[in-house]
Amino acid sequence: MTLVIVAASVLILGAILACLVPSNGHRAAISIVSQALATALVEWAVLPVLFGAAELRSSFVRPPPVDEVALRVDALSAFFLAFSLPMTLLGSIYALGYLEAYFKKARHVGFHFALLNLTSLAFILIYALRNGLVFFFGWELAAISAWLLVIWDYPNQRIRFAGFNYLVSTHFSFLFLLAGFLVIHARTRSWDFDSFAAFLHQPSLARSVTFVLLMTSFGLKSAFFPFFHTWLPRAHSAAPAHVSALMSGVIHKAGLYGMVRVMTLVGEPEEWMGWYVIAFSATSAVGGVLYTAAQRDLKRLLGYSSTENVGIAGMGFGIGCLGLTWHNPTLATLGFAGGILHVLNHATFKCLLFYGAGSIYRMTHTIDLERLGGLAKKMPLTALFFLVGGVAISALPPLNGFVSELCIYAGLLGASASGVARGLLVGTAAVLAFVGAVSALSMTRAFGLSFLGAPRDPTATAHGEAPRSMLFTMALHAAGVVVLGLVPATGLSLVREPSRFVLAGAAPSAVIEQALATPLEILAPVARVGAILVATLATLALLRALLVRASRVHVTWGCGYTRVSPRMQYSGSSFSAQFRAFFGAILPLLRREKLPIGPFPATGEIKTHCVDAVERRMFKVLGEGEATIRRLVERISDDARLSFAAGLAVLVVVMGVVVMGARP
Amino acid sequence: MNAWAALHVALLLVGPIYFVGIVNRTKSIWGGRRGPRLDQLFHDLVRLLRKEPVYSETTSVLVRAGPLVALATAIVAAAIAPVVSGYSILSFPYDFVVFAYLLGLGRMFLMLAALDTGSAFEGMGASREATFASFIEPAFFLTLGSFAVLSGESSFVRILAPSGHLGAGVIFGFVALLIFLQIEAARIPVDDPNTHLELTMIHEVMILDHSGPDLAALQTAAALKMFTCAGILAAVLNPFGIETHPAAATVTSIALIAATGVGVGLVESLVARLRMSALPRYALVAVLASVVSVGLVVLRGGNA
Amino acid sequence: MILALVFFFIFAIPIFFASWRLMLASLGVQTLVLALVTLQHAHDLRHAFAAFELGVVRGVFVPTYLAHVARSSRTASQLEVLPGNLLHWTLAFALVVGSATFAAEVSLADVPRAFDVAASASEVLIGFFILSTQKQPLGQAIGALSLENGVVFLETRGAHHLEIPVQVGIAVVFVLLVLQLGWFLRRLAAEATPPGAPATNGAGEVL
Repeated sequence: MTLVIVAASVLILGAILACLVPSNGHRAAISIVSQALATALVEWAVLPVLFGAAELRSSFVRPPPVDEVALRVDALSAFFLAFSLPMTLLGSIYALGYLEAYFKKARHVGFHFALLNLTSLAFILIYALRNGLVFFFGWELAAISAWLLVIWDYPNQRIRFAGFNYLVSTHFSFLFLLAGFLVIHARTRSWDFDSFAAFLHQPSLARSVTFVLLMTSFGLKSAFFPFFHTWLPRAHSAAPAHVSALMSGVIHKAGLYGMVRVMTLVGEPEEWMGWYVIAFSATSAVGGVLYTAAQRDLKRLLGYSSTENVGIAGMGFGIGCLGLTWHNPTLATLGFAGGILHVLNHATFKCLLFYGAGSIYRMTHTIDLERLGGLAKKMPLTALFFLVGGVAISALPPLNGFVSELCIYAGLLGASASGVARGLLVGTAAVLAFVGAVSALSMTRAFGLSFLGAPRDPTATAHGEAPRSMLFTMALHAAGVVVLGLVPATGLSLVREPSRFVLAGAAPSAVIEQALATPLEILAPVARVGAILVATLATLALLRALLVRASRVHVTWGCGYTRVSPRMQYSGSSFSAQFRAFFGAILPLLRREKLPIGPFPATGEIKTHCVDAVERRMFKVLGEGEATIRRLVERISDDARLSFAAGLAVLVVVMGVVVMGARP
Repeated sequence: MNAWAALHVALLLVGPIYFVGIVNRTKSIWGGRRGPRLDQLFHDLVRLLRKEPVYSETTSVLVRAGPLVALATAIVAAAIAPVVSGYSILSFPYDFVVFAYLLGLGRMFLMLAALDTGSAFEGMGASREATFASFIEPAFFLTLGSFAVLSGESSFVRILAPSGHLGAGVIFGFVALLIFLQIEAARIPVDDPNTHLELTMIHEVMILDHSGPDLAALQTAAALKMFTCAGILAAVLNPFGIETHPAAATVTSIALIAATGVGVGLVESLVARLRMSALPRYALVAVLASVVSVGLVVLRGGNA
Repeated sequence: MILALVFFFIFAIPIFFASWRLMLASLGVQTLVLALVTLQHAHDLRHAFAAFELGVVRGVFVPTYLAHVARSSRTASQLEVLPGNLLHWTLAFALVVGSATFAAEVSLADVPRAFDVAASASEVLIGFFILSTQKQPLGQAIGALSLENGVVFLETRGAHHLEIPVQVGIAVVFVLLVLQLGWFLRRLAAEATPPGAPATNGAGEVL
């Protein structure tokens, strides 16, 4: 446990030094070295716990109201710590290449790297500490560091607005968290999570209310659709690529950690809790994936894809909850193992995809799919890594997305319920299949439009491959994706202990042992199929090499057109046109046009943009509401009689409430 | 079951060629012609393998890798699905999920190879393929999910093994799977394999710029996928199980597959291609049929 | 108990007059009174330091500094802290009643504590109310300072006091904040003199 505390101090020291040291290169170096050291220390302390050692315990006492601060790293916290810190480190290494241009200018990059250190520190606080107040502190630290990281490009007003939007939303999440914890604190008079557990084990109205409040808070943090995600696309589009990657891949997983932690504290959830989580996760998955199909901004697309994937992980947790309610350890294992593994898998391939998008932006200075094209020839390595990430996020075998989704499918399609419940679970499996197919559509579109074909805008060409630090980070993530996919046993061994922790006490240990072996039983044949697929592919490639001795090069067949231009290629909006039109109610299209008119027309243009329906409605309602109230208030201020009447009305209402409340 | 494995592999190698032959022969006979030989596809493939491929200068390595991935996934998917006589080489719990996603992988690489050429036509085909596939996936899962509930099993072979459990749900599941075949294999009324108008193509347009061995690989993959889907339909209808009556099961299965081939040919000859904008609704028919199938499961009380 | 009432009325009465000078003065006087009372009862260096910090920093320095800054910018002369009509007064009254009810709920038998919580909560809520009706930065600053005062009152009346270094840190941060606010007000006033130069709109376009 001391190692973790030392790691935290190293991070703080590194952050301070990174701000003070003179040269930009040294600042970045200090930050990365301190993060590397802290990561090594934490991994050393935490990996044994992840593989079965006893949990780390420590505590120190502070004066009231904080009281005792318990530090405890059990298997669940160990899992989250084990991937969060290394990924933040990789993000910082990526930032070296991404922010390279700023290093020579007068811009002080030390603050940015110091914030990355503080983010790692926030993870340690959130995942290792068991005190409610300190949890708030860690939550806030993560939120504020993320906000400051997002507005790296603050001279641009849109980016400032995106950051502000993010800040407000994350504080809404904090408000709900505060409300939930305060309700519990009022009942238990303590901030320690163990006393929370004692309260949450008893079914009561307060527990149900708290559950909903906390789920709302974590839903806001992790950006579940449909009401809690509106900040995500803007923030991801505005932030530098490594910040978007870290936000999507690591910081917002804290929300999912919160969900699982609450479920373990509740012990034996009621049935409605599991269905509630499945329902809003499924909505999130479908809503998120529909939006990915129609975006033209690559980072926005990836942001919506994060909404989709946390929905999938949430579905896993919901199934696990149902398993706990129905006393079915196999179902619970499949659900929680699938969900927790999906958290890791998503972190791996989402960071990879964002890093790829960052490479594109760095080399072409645009992220607009309608302008890109043909980058695979100039940036072959980035193309390869992005393809690996794209195939993984569409949950296609043999990569890692499929491994976690198969666990969730096994939970949904297995023989664990009867009647209407079984029908609903099969329906959810169909929803998951739809999500997978649409995700494949949007990833084909994203990869195909940016890397394949020819550049749709001649100015959007890359002049070379991305810098080495960026390629290095992407290579590591791609390797992780491939290994976790081809050898499912690696991923499953990582989630075995966290699943055991979540299931603890739900059944006799022999039954739990048997249940914990189920995911590996299901996935072992899949590993064989993956190997067979790779072998078949290799054989076919060999055959092709033998058959194809020479080949000719010619132009793409143009059906008789002699002046084929790259602008004639299918664009992003055309690719998803039919799909988007089918879901037009959820995917509104904003169209701005200036059509050429008359016999000698000037140039015309059409711009289409798929906007977020929920966000538009929300702004409309808020804006109109504010305008209405302001008009009303101004009228009242001018008219004395109206103000008297309004005041009297309010007075009557208030006195009525007081009188009714005072009655015994 | 090694003899069966060998027979199964042999039939998988030979079957697709004759299946395509049967479909084309049926169409020709219905059109008043004698039609090509039953093994015409084999001769076409041999001819293509001998040719020198032509690649577009816009393309990258994907147009060379795409056909390989499509063929590899079709092969492994055919090994998983119960094609002939309700037997499959690879069988394990939830293998139908792997089957569906393998086909998805092949489809993705096919679309990427199409986008690689930088041609508007191929992009069009890729877009349509992606859209219709996303509508048919839930239907497949609902159908097989409901069959899994009714039979109490979890692997493809055992779900479709005849055991009398399936009951009335078979009809709806059959309809959904038939539409699944039409979308996967790109047959009428979803897509016309004989059309020469790019604006009306889905599958054919994606392979316009492939030639030589690449085209051979794609045509083999397409034939294999169609044969696999026909085999699944035959397994749904087959009253004999391979455990109890192996010979009868095999013969019936082959007969049913041939009948499916004739059926596909008949549909191609008698029905016109649906309008492109009506195709999502056609896919939704499949989804509705499978939803009814699930509803029947719920009404029957399911299987705990 | 009496202190809570005195504290509350020092704040509440100037609301009706709506003059920002009076508001700033009342905020200062509030904290000075609180500081004196705390100093009387102080039995610990921490308490004494808290009282000292309250008195000097929040009671004297902040209001005078802000008044000085506001005087040098001419735009603040027409500022109304809370519009003087019956609707706003009744809403403010409702907020006070609401916080009194809340305080009664929270601290059931402990009457002095209930008064403390009520005074603090009502000042906080009225601070929010001022913030929501104000468009000028000075008005918003007054609203924020009311919030601060309400919170500080409850903190000081509590049994537990922070260590001195922590208190120093908090005081330093607060002073820096107020200095920055003053600089900001001066910058805005300087840029507002050429007409037709609107302040930055916080909300961006919704594209």
